[in-house]
Amino acid sequence: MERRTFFINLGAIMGALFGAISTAFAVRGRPATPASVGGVRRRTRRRTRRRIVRGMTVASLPVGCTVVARGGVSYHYCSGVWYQPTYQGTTVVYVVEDVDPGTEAYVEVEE
Amino acid sequence: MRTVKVSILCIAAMVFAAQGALAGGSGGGIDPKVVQVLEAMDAYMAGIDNIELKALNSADVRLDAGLMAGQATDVHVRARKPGSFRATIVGDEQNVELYISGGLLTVFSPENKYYAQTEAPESIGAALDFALEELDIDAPMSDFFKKNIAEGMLVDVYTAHYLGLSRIRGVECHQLALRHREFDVQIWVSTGDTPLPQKVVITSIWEGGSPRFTSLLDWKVSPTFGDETFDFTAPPGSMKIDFQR
Repeated sequence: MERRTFFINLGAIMGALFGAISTAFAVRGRPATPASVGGVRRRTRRRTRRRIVRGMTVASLPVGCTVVARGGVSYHYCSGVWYQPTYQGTTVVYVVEDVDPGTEAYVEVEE
Repeated sequence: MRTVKVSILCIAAMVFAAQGALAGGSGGGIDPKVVQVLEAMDAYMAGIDNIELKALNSADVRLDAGLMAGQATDVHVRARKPGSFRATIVGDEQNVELYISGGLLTVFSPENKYYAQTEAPESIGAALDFALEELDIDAPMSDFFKKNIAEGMLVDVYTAHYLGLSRIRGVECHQLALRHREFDVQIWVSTGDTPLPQKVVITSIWEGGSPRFTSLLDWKVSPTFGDETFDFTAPPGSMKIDFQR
């Protein structure tokens, strides 16, 4: 494994990048941006609307969710979509575990 | 004693390697005074068992139309050798706590009361490496809580300058400048027999507008900690979740 230098490491940490989302989608108002050296981030504003499918990761939940236990695991159930919260680094993201048949839900993402 | 020797040898090797690179035409060099200051800081910090750090951080973020905005984060770290560490991070985009204690690593988000736990190596340094490599968690200021700080700071540095004495919040410091290929680092280390880093500035050279990261560090040496500082207890209503690996 390639050794990370002190300052890339330090910069990444300090720049509030502590657990930045690298592959996740970001919901409006909660942009996920890639890390860069020195703890500095660049924000982009390209927004796209995507259909929610199983396996997708989002940065926040829509409104009107309830916590439901299914098979010993707690999910957030939001209008036909089952989300499982998980830590990516120290950031909580929500992975779409299941979508009820017939559900058409969309999320606006920045990428 | 052996560790110190090895460490000095490593730095000597790096200085030599850097000088070799300079012969290739990049100009500059590593001022031995820089190595000396960093080594003294390293040796002093290595001898401290209990330490507390409050850091005020600000990172430039380039918004639309190039507007540069500072993003603030407050970091509070408490560490007790050999294996107890806690970091509280509160910022514009972060509100999280990291606990390392008794071979257990916990991340807790006070806002929504999620937490995740996993087994981790016993020592602080090994647990922080594990967090970075296995969980993608960059604990704040983690390198200041590991071994061989000076050596780590000089990796990939091609020139290092001793800029002289300066004052940070009334504390006399050595000001050092370390150049990397893509960013410059300035570090202010207090003079005297308790050398500690007081300020760090990282400037990204090639990014538009040369955004900066700045940290002011406030240390408390040898405070007393109770176990409750490091042992995580899940508050009522909290929800245990997993780490994505």
